[in-house]
Amino acid sequence: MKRLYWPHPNDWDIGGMERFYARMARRGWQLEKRGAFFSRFIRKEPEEVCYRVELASSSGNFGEVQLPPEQIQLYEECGWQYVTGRGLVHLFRAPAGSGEPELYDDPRQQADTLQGLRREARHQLIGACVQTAIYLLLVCLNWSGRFADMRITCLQAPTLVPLALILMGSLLAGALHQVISLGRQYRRMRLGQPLDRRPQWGWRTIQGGFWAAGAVCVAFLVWQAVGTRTLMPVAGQVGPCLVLEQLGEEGELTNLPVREGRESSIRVTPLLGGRWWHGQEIRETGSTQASLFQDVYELSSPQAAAELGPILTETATFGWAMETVEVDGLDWAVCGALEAVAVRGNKAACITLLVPVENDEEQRAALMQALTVLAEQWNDPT
Amino acid sequence: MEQQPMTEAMYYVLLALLRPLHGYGLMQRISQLSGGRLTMSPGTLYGILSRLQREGLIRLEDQDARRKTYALTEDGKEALKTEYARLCRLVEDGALLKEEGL
Repeated sequence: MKRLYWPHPNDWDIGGMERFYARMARRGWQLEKRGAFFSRFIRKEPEEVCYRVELASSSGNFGEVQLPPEQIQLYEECGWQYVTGRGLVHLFRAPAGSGEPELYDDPRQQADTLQGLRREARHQLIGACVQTAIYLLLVCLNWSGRFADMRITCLQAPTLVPLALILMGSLLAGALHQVISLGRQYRRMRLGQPLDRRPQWGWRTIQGGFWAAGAVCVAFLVWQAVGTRTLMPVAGQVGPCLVLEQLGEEGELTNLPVREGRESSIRVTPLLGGRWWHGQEIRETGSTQASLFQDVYELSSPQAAAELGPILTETATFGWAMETVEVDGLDWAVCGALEAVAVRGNKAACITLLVPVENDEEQRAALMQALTVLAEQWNDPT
Repeated sequence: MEQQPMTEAMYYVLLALLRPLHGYGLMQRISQLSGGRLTMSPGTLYGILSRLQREGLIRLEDQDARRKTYALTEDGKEALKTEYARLCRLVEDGALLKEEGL
Protein backbone atom coordinates (compact mmCIF):
# COMPACT_ATOMS: atom_id res chain seq x y z
CA MET A 1 0.00 0.00 0.00
CA LYS A 2 1.43 3.34 -1.01
CA ARG A 3 2.15 5.79 1.76
CA LEU A 4 3.10 9.42 1.76
CA TYR A 5 4.62 11.69 4.41
CA TRP A 6 3.85 15.38 4.09
CA PRO A 7 4.31 18.39 6.37
CA HIS A 8 1.05 19.61 7.87
CA PRO A 9 -0.11 23.05 9.11
CA ASN A 10 0.64 24.11 12.66
CA ASP A 11 -1.69 23.11 15.49
CA TRP A 12 -2.98 26.66 15.94
CA ASP A 13 -4.18 26.82 12.31
CA ILE A 14 -7.34 24.78 12.86
CA GLY A 15 -9.01 25.87 9.64
CA GLY A 16 -5.80 25.29 7.74
CA MET A 17 -5.52 21.73 9.06
CA GLU A 18 -9.12 20.91 8.13
CA ARG A 19 -8.70 22.29 4.60
CA PHE A 20 -5.35 20.55 4.16
CA TYR A 21 -6.61 17.07 5.03
CA ALA A 22 -9.76 17.52 2.94
CA ARG A 23 -7.61 18.59 0.00
CA MET A 24 -5.36 15.56 0.38
CA ALA A 25 -8.42 13.29 0.48
CA ARG A 26 -9.63 14.82 -2.78
CA ARG A 27 -6.26 13.88 -4.28
CA GLY A 28 -6.58 10.30 -3.10
CA TRP A 29 -4.50 10.48 0.10
CA GLN A 30 -6.29 9.52 3.27
CA LEU A 31 -4.86 10.61 6.59
CA GLU A 32 -3.52 7.69 8.60
CA LYS A 33 -1.41 9.19 11.34
CA ARG A 34 -0.31 12.61 12.43
CA GLY A 35 3.19 13.32 13.75
CA ALA A 36 4.87 16.38 15.18
CA PHE A 37 5.60 17.97 11.80
CA PHE A 38 4.57 15.39 9.20
CA SER A 39 1.36 13.48 8.56
CA ARG A 40 1.29 10.00 7.11
CA PHE A 41 -1.18 9.30 4.32
CA ILE A 42 -2.30 6.12 2.67
CA ARG A 43 -3.32 5.82 -0.96
CA LYS A 44 -7.09 5.48 -1.42
CA GLU A 45 -9.74 6.51 -3.93
CA PRO A 46 -10.22 10.29 -4.09
CA GLU A 47 -13.19 11.36 -2.00
CA GLU A 48 -14.91 14.47 -0.80
CA VAL A 49 -14.45 14.43 2.93
CA CYS A 50 -14.93 16.99 5.66
CA TYR A 51 -12.39 17.02 8.47
CA ARG A 52 -12.95 18.62 11.85
CA VAL A 53 -10.46 19.25 14.62
CA GLU A 54 -11.33 18.53 18.24
CA LEU A 55 -8.96 19.78 20.91
CA ALA A 56 -8.36 17.71 24.00
CA SER A 57 -8.19 19.27 27.43
CA SER A 58 -4.60 19.61 28.55
CA SER A 59 -3.82 17.52 31.58
CA GLY A 60 -0.62 19.45 32.12
CA ASN A 61 1.41 16.45 31.03
CA PHE A 62 3.61 16.51 27.95
CA GLY A 63 2.99 14.06 25.13
CA GLU A 64 -0.20 12.39 24.04
CA VAL A 65 -3.51 13.61 25.42
CA GLN A 66 -6.23 11.15 24.57
CA LEU A 67 -9.83 12.08 24.01
CA PRO A 68 -12.15 10.28 26.46
CA PRO A 69 -13.67 7.14 24.89
CA GLU A 70 -17.19 8.38 25.67
CA GLN A 71 -16.52 11.56 23.70
CA ILE A 72 -15.24 9.62 20.69
CA GLN A 73 -18.24 7.30 21.03
CA LEU A 74 -20.67 10.23 21.00
CA TYR A 75 -19.06 11.82 17.96
CA GLU A 76 -18.99 8.55 16.05
CA GLU A 77 -22.65 7.92 16.80
CA CYS A 78 -23.32 11.31 15.25
CA GLY A 79 -21.55 10.26 12.06
CA TRP A 80 -18.02 11.55 12.67
CA GLN A 81 -15.29 8.94 12.31
CA TYR A 82 -12.27 9.29 14.57
CA VAL A 83 -9.10 9.32 12.46
CA THR A 84 -6.05 10.06 14.59
CA GLY A 85 -4.66 12.47 17.11
CA ARG A 86 -1.41 13.82 18.46
CA GLY A 87 -0.88 16.09 21.41
CA LEU A 88 -4.03 18.12 21.93
CA VAL A 89 -5.17 17.86 18.30
CA HIS A 90 -7.57 15.10 17.26
CA LEU A 91 -9.20 14.70 13.88
CA PHE A 92 -12.63 13.47 12.87
CA ARG A 93 -13.88 12.84 9.37
CA ALA A 94 -17.28 12.60 7.69
CA PRO A 95 -18.31 12.48 4.04
CA ALA A 96 -18.83 16.00 2.75
CA GLY A 97 -22.47 16.99 2.40
CA SER A 98 -23.72 14.02 4.42
CA GLY A 99 -25.56 16.24 6.86
CA GLU A 100 -23.64 15.36 10.01
CA PRO A 101 -24.05 18.11 12.59
CA GLU A 102 -21.04 20.31 13.24
CA LEU A 103 -19.15 19.28 16.35
CA TYR A 104 -20.14 22.54 18.08
CA ASP A 105 -23.10 24.86 17.66
CA ASP A 106 -22.15 27.04 20.63
CA PRO A 107 -18.97 29.05 19.92
CA ARG A 108 -18.74 30.17 23.55
CA GLN A 109 -18.48 26.61 24.71
CA GLN A 110 -16.12 25.65 21.91
CA ALA A 111 -13.89 28.55 22.95
CA ASP A 112 -13.07 26.69 26.16
CA THR A 113 -11.48 23.90 24.12
CA LEU A 114 -8.81 26.36 22.96
CA GLN A 115 -7.44 26.87 26.47
CA GLY A 116 -5.08 23.91 26.40
CA LEU A 117 -3.64 24.96 23.06
CA ARG A 118 -3.30 28.56 24.24
CA ARG A 119 -1.40 27.41 27.29
CA GLU A 120 0.95 25.36 25.11
CA ALA A 121 1.44 28.33 22.80
CA ARG A 122 2.42 30.58 25.71
CA HIS A 123 4.91 27.99 26.96
CA GLN A 124 6.38 27.72 23.48
CA LEU A 125 6.75 31.48 23.25
CA ILE A 126 8.57 31.57 26.57
CA GLY A 127 10.76 28.70 25.39
CA ALA A 128 11.55 30.48 22.12
CA CYS A 129 12.50 33.66 23.99
CA VAL A 130 14.73 31.78 26.41
CA GLN A 131 16.33 29.80 23.58
CA THR A 132 17.08 32.95 21.64
CA ALA A 133 18.47 34.70 24.69
CA ILE A 134 20.76 31.75 25.50
CA TYR A 135 21.93 31.57 21.91
CA LEU A 136 22.75 35.25 21.80
CA LEU A 137 24.54 34.95 25.14
CA LEU A 138 26.64 32.02 23.90
CA VAL A 139 27.51 33.91 20.72
CA CYS A 140 28.61 36.91 22.77
CA LEU A 141 30.64 34.71 25.14
CA ASN A 142 32.21 32.88 22.19
CA TRP A 143 33.34 36.16 20.80
CA SER A 144 35.10 36.83 24.06
CA GLY A 145 33.83 40.30 23.48
CA ARG A 146 35.66 40.49 20.15
CA PHE A 147 33.55 41.74 17.33
CA ALA A 148 36.46 40.90 15.02
CA ASP A 149 35.60 37.19 15.15
CA MET A 150 32.12 37.93 13.84
CA ARG A 151 33.64 40.08 11.08
CA ILE A 152 35.76 37.13 9.93
CA THR A 153 32.74 34.80 9.99
CA CYS A 154 30.73 37.33 7.99
CA LEU A 155 33.52 37.48 5.44
CA GLN A 156 34.06 33.73 5.11
CA ALA A 157 30.38 32.77 5.10
CA PRO A 158 28.40 35.98 4.66
CA THR A 159 24.99 34.37 4.86
CA LEU A 160 25.66 32.21 7.91
CA VAL A 161 24.88 34.93 10.43
CA PRO A 162 21.80 36.16 8.54
CA LEU A 163 20.62 32.54 8.26
CA ALA A 164 20.94 32.07 12.01
CA LEU A 165 19.07 35.33 12.59
CA ILE A 166 16.35 34.28 10.14
CA LEU A 167 15.93 30.94 11.90
CA MET A 168 15.75 32.60 15.31
CA GLY A 169 13.44 35.29 13.99
CA SER A 170 11.06 32.84 12.36
CA LEU A 171 10.97 30.74 15.52
CA LEU A 172 10.12 33.76 17.65
CA ALA A 173 7.68 35.20 15.14
CA GLY A 174 5.94 31.85 14.78
CA ALA A 175 5.60 31.44 18.53
CA LEU A 176 4.31 34.99 18.94
CA HIS A 177 1.84 34.64 16.07
CA GLN A 178 0.55 31.42 17.57
CA VAL A 179 -0.24 33.16 20.86
CA ILE A 180 -1.85 36.14 19.14
CA SER A 181 -3.87 34.06 16.70
CA LEU A 182 -5.28 31.72 19.34
CA GLY A 183 -6.05 34.63 21.63
CA ARG A 184 -7.94 36.35 18.84
CA GLN A 185 -9.88 33.16 18.09
CA TYR A 186 -10.76 32.72 21.75
CA ARG A 187 -12.04 36.29 22.17
CA ARG A 188 -14.01 36.06 18.94
CA MET A 189 -15.67 32.82 20.02
CA ARG A 190 -16.43 34.10 23.52
CA LEU A 191 -18.40 36.86 21.81
CA GLY A 192 -20.46 34.18 20.07
CA GLN A 193 -18.78 34.25 16.67
CA PRO A 194 -17.91 30.88 15.14
CA LEU A 195 -14.37 29.59 14.76
CA ASP A 196 -12.59 31.49 12.00
CA ARG A 197 -11.45 28.89 9.51
CA ARG A 198 -10.33 31.30 6.82
CA PRO A 199 -6.76 31.15 5.45
CA GLN A 200 -4.42 33.51 7.24
CA TRP A 201 -2.81 35.20 4.28
CA GLY A 202 -1.02 37.81 6.35
CA TRP A 203 0.91 35.25 8.33
CA ARG A 204 1.53 33.14 5.23
CA THR A 205 3.12 36.16 3.57
CA ILE A 206 5.40 36.73 6.54
CA GLN A 207 6.25 33.06 6.70
CA GLY A 208 6.95 33.05 2.97
CA GLY A 209 9.31 35.96 3.47
CA PHE A 210 11.26 34.01 6.07
CA TRP A 211 11.44 30.99 3.80
CA ALA A 212 12.55 33.07 0.81
CA ALA A 213 15.25 34.82 2.81
CA GLY A 214 16.44 31.53 4.24
CA ALA A 215 16.49 29.97 0.78
CA VAL A 216 18.66 32.79 -0.54
CA CYS A 217 21.11 32.27 2.32
CA VAL A 218 21.20 28.51 1.80
CA ALA A 219 21.58 28.99 -1.96
CA PHE A 220 24.64 31.12 -1.33
CA LEU A 221 26.14 28.53 1.00
CA VAL A 222 25.52 25.84 -1.63
CA TRP A 223 27.12 28.05 -4.27
CA GLN A 224 30.13 28.45 -2.00
CA ALA A 225 30.36 24.73 -1.33
CA VAL A 226 30.04 23.82 -4.99
CA GLY A 227 32.62 26.43 -5.98
CA THR A 228 35.18 25.31 -3.42
CA ARG A 229 38.29 23.61 -4.84
CA THR A 230 41.17 21.86 -3.13
CA LEU A 231 44.68 22.24 -4.47
CA MET A 232 48.02 20.66 -3.67
CA PRO A 233 50.53 23.09 -2.17
CA VAL A 234 52.72 23.37 -5.26
CA ALA A 235 54.53 26.62 -6.08
CA GLY A 236 53.02 28.54 -8.95
CA GLN A 237 49.71 26.72 -8.77
CA VAL A 238 48.16 28.17 -5.62
CA GLY A 239 47.42 31.77 -6.56
CA PRO A 240 48.40 34.31 -3.89
CA CYS A 241 49.35 31.66 -1.33
CA LEU A 242 52.82 30.76 -0.16
CA VAL A 243 54.19 27.24 -0.09
CA LEU A 244 57.00 25.95 2.12
CA GLU A 245 59.06 25.15 -0.94
CA GLN A 246 59.35 28.89 -1.64
CA LEU A 247 60.80 29.33 1.87
CA GLY A 248 63.45 26.69 1.39
CA GLU A 249 61.62 23.85 3.12
CA GLU A 250 61.73 20.95 0.71
CA GLY A 251 60.84 18.03 2.93
CA GLU A 252 58.17 15.47 2.23
CA LEU A 253 54.53 16.54 2.41
CA THR A 254 52.81 14.89 5.30
CA ASN A 255 49.46 14.77 7.05
CA LEU A 256 48.48 17.20 9.73
CA PRO A 257 49.20 15.63 13.10
CA VAL A 258 46.36 17.20 15.05
CA ARG A 259 43.48 17.33 12.61
CA GLU A 260 42.61 13.67 12.22
CA GLY A 261 45.34 13.18 9.65
CA ARG A 262 44.00 15.61 7.05
CA GLU A 263 46.32 16.05 4.10
CA SER A 264 48.32 19.19 3.40
CA SER A 265 46.22 21.20 1.00
CA ILE A 266 44.97 24.61 0.01
CA ARG A 267 41.22 25.13 -0.19
CA VAL A 268 39.86 27.91 -2.40
CA THR A 269 36.37 29.18 -1.53
CA PRO A 270 34.48 31.83 -3.52
CA LEU A 271 33.33 34.92 -1.63
CA LEU A 272 31.09 37.80 -2.54
CA GLY A 273 33.38 39.76 -4.86
CA GLY A 274 36.48 37.74 -4.09
CA ARG A 275 38.08 34.50 -2.93
CA TRP A 276 39.37 32.97 0.28
CA TRP A 277 42.37 30.70 0.28
CA HIS A 278 42.83 28.52 3.34
CA GLY A 279 46.08 26.57 3.38
CA GLN A 280 47.71 24.03 5.68
CA GLU A 281 51.02 22.45 4.78
CA ILE A 282 53.47 20.32 6.72
CA ARG A 283 56.75 18.99 5.39
CA GLU A 284 59.03 16.55 7.13
CA THR A 285 62.78 16.37 6.71
CA GLY A 286 64.09 13.49 8.70
CA SER A 287 62.97 14.11 12.25
CA THR A 288 62.18 17.80 11.81
CA GLN A 289 58.98 19.41 10.59
CA ALA A 290 58.06 22.74 9.06
CA SER A 291 54.43 23.85 8.98
CA LEU A 292 52.65 26.70 7.28
CA PHE A 293 49.04 27.72 7.99
CA GLN A 294 47.60 30.63 6.07
CA ASP A 295 44.40 32.47 5.23
CA VAL A 296 44.67 34.68 2.16
CA TYR A 297 41.80 36.88 1.04
CA GLU A 298 41.33 38.41 -2.39
CA LEU A 299 38.67 41.08 -1.84
CA SER A 300 36.65 43.46 -3.96
CA SER A 301 38.75 46.54 -3.17
CA PRO A 302 42.01 47.69 -1.53
CA GLN A 303 39.91 49.46 1.09
CA ALA A 304 38.30 46.19 2.11
CA ALA A 305 41.74 44.57 2.40
CA ALA A 306 43.08 47.50 4.42
CA GLU A 307 40.15 47.16 6.86
CA LEU A 308 40.69 43.41 7.12
CA GLY A 309 44.37 43.64 8.08
CA PRO A 310 43.84 44.84 11.68
CA ILE A 311 40.98 42.36 12.11
CA LEU A 312 43.25 39.48 11.10
CA THR A 313 45.79 40.77 13.60
CA GLU A 314 43.21 40.87 16.37
CA THR A 315 41.98 37.34 15.65
CA ALA A 316 45.42 35.79 15.17
CA THR A 317 45.97 32.62 17.19
CA PHE A 318 49.50 33.57 18.20
CA GLY A 319 48.93 37.29 18.05
CA TRP A 320 51.13 38.36 20.95
CA ALA A 321 54.06 40.70 20.44
CA MET A 322 52.87 41.76 17.01
CA GLU A 323 54.82 44.75 15.68
CA THR A 324 54.37 46.80 12.56
CA VAL A 325 57.16 46.09 10.10
CA GLU A 326 58.26 47.64 6.81
CA VAL A 327 58.34 45.21 3.90
CA ASP A 328 58.97 46.34 0.34
CA GLY A 329 55.97 45.64 -1.81
CA LEU A 330 53.45 45.45 1.05
CA ASP A 331 51.09 48.27 1.99
CA TRP A 332 50.99 47.18 5.62
CA ALA A 333 52.40 44.33 7.66
CA VAL A 334 52.73 43.20 11.25
CA CYS A 335 54.94 40.42 12.51
CA GLY A 336 54.94 38.52 15.79
CA ALA A 337 56.61 35.43 17.17
CA LEU A 338 54.80 32.83 15.07
CA GLU A 339 52.30 34.79 13.03
CA ALA A 340 52.32 37.66 10.53
CA VAL A 341 49.65 39.67 8.73
CA ALA A 342 50.16 41.41 5.39
CA VAL A 343 48.09 43.69 3.14
CA ARG A 344 48.77 44.64 -0.47
CA GLY A 345 46.17 46.10 -2.80
CA ASN A 346 43.02 43.99 -2.55
CA LYS A 347 44.81 41.11 -0.83
CA ALA A 348 45.19 40.41 2.88
CA ALA A 349 46.87 37.40 4.48
CA CYS A 350 47.47 35.91 7.90
CA ILE A 351 50.37 33.45 8.01
CA THR A 352 51.39 31.08 10.80
CA LEU A 353 54.84 29.64 10.17
CA LEU A 354 56.74 27.14 12.32
CA VAL A 355 60.19 26.12 11.11
CA PRO A 356 62.85 23.98 12.79
CA VAL A 357 65.12 26.73 14.16
CA GLU A 358 67.10 27.25 17.33
CA ASN A 359 65.42 30.28 18.85
CA ASP A 360 62.70 32.92 18.61
CA GLU A 361 64.90 35.32 16.68
CA GLU A 362 65.41 32.82 13.89
CA GLN A 363 61.72 32.04 13.90
CA ARG A 364 60.90 35.72 13.50
CA ALA A 365 63.50 36.05 10.74
CA ALA A 366 61.80 33.17 8.91
CA LEU A 367 58.49 35.01 9.16
CA MET A 368 60.04 38.20 7.78
CA GLN A 369 61.45 36.18 4.90
CA ALA A 370 57.98 34.77 4.28
CA LEU A 371 56.56 38.29 4.14
CA THR A 372 59.25 39.30 1.62
CA VAL A 373 58.51 36.30 -0.60
CA LEU A 374 54.81 37.01 -0.30
CA ALA A 375 55.34 40.62 -1.37
CA GLU A 376 57.32 39.51 -4.41
CA GLN A 377 54.65 37.02 -5.34
CA TRP A 378 51.80 39.50 -4.98
CA ASN A 379 53.67 42.13 -7.01
CA ASP A 380 54.69 39.74 -9.77
CA PRO A 381 52.67 40.76 -12.83
CA THR A 382 52.78 37.17 -14.15
CA MET B 1 -25.61 28.18 48.99
CA GLU B 2 -28.41 29.11 46.59
CA GLN B 3 -28.28 27.18 43.34
CA GLN B 4 -27.37 29.23 40.28
CA PRO B 5 -29.99 29.19 37.50
CA MET B 6 -29.26 26.58 34.88
CA THR B 7 -29.00 27.14 31.17
CA GLU B 8 -31.77 25.68 29.09
CA ALA B 9 -29.37 23.08 27.68
CA MET B 10 -28.26 21.91 31.14
CA TYR B 11 -31.87 21.68 32.32
CA TYR B 12 -32.89 19.48 29.41
CA VAL B 13 -29.82 17.25 29.82
CA LEU B 14 -30.74 16.60 33.45
CA LEU B 15 -34.36 16.10 32.50
CA ALA B 16 -33.44 13.59 29.82
CA LEU B 17 -31.24 11.69 32.27
CA LEU B 18 -34.14 10.78 34.51
CA ARG B 19 -33.56 7.58 32.59
CA PRO B 20 -29.86 6.60 32.16
CA LEU B 21 -28.83 7.11 28.53
CA HIS B 22 -25.77 7.00 26.34
CA GLY B 23 -24.60 10.11 24.51
CA TYR B 24 -26.41 9.82 21.19
CA GLY B 25 -29.58 8.56 22.85
CA LEU B 26 -29.40 11.60 25.09
CA MET B 27 -29.27 13.91 22.08
CA GLN B 28 -32.37 12.29 20.65
CA ARG B 29 -34.23 12.36 23.98
CA ILE B 30 -33.48 16.06 24.44
CA SER B 31 -34.83 16.82 20.99
CA GLN B 32 -37.92 14.75 21.78
CA LEU B 33 -38.55 16.39 25.17
CA SER B 34 -38.21 19.88 23.74
CA GLY B 35 -40.46 19.12 20.83
CA GLY B 36 -37.60 19.51 18.36
CA ARG B 37 -36.89 23.00 19.62
CA LEU B 38 -33.57 22.19 21.16
CA THR B 39 -30.96 20.27 19.18
CA MET B 40 -27.41 19.99 20.35
CA SER B 41 -24.25 19.23 18.48
CA PRO B 42 -22.12 16.44 19.96
CA GLY B 43 -19.33 18.71 21.09
CA THR B 44 -21.68 21.10 22.84
CA LEU B 45 -23.47 18.19 24.53
CA TYR B 46 -20.21 16.62 25.62
CA GLY B 47 -19.05 19.90 27.09
CA ILE B 48 -22.25 20.14 29.16
CA LEU B 49 -21.93 16.53 30.27
CA SER B 50 -18.32 17.15 31.37
CA ARG B 51 -19.37 20.17 33.38
CA LEU B 52 -22.27 18.35 35.04
CA GLN B 53 -19.93 15.50 35.88
CA ARG B 54 -17.44 17.88 37.47
CA GLU B 55 -20.24 19.42 39.53
CA GLY B 56 -21.33 15.97 40.67
CA LEU B 57 -24.80 16.18 39.15
CA ILE B 58 -24.34 13.19 36.82
CA ARG B 59 -22.11 10.17 36.71
CA LEU B 60 -20.73 7.94 34.01
CA GLU B 61 -21.64 4.27 34.14
CA ASP B 62 -20.26 1.26 32.27
CA GLN B 63 -23.25 -0.61 30.98
CA ASP B 64 -21.14 -2.89 28.87
CA ALA B 65 -17.70 -2.90 27.32
CA ARG B 66 -18.87 -0.95 24.28
CA ARG B 67 -21.03 1.77 25.63
CA LYS B 68 -20.93 4.15 28.52
CA THR B 69 -24.10 5.74 29.80
CA TYR B 70 -24.84 8.74 31.94
CA ALA B 71 -27.14 8.82 34.92
CA LEU B 72 -28.29 11.41 37.48
CA THR B 73 -26.76 11.43 40.91
CA GLU B 74 -28.82 12.29 43.99
CA ASP B 75 -27.39 15.81 43.83
CA GLY B 76 -28.43 15.96 40.20
CA LYS B 77 -31.99 14.96 41.06
CA GLU B 78 -32.16 17.61 43.76
CA ALA B 79 -30.72 20.24 41.41
CA LEU B 80 -33.30 19.29 38.76
CA LYS B 81 -36.17 19.52 41.23
CA THR B 82 -34.92 22.88 42.49
CA GLU B 83 -34.63 24.25 38.97
CA TYR B 84 -38.06 22.95 38.05
CA ALA B 85 -39.53 24.61 41.13
CA ARG B 86 -37.80 27.86 40.23
CA LEU B 87 -39.18 27.75 36.69
CA CYS B 88 -42.68 27.02 38.02
CA ARG B 89 -42.47 30.05 40.28
CA LEU B 90 -41.43 32.16 37.35
CA VAL B 91 -44.46 30.96 35.37
CA GLU B 92 -46.80 31.53 38.34
CA ASP B 93 -45.46 35.03 38.81
CA GLY B 94 -45.98 35.57 35.10
CA ALA B 95 -49.75 35.06 35.51
CA LEU B 96 -49.76 38.81 36.03
CA LEU B 97 -49.59 39.08 32.26
CA LYS B 98 -53.09 37.59 31.93
CA GLU B 99 -54.44 39.94 34.60
CA GLU B 100 -53.08 42.84 32.62
CA GLY B 101 -54.72 41.51 29.48
CA LEU B 102 -51.44 40.87 27.68
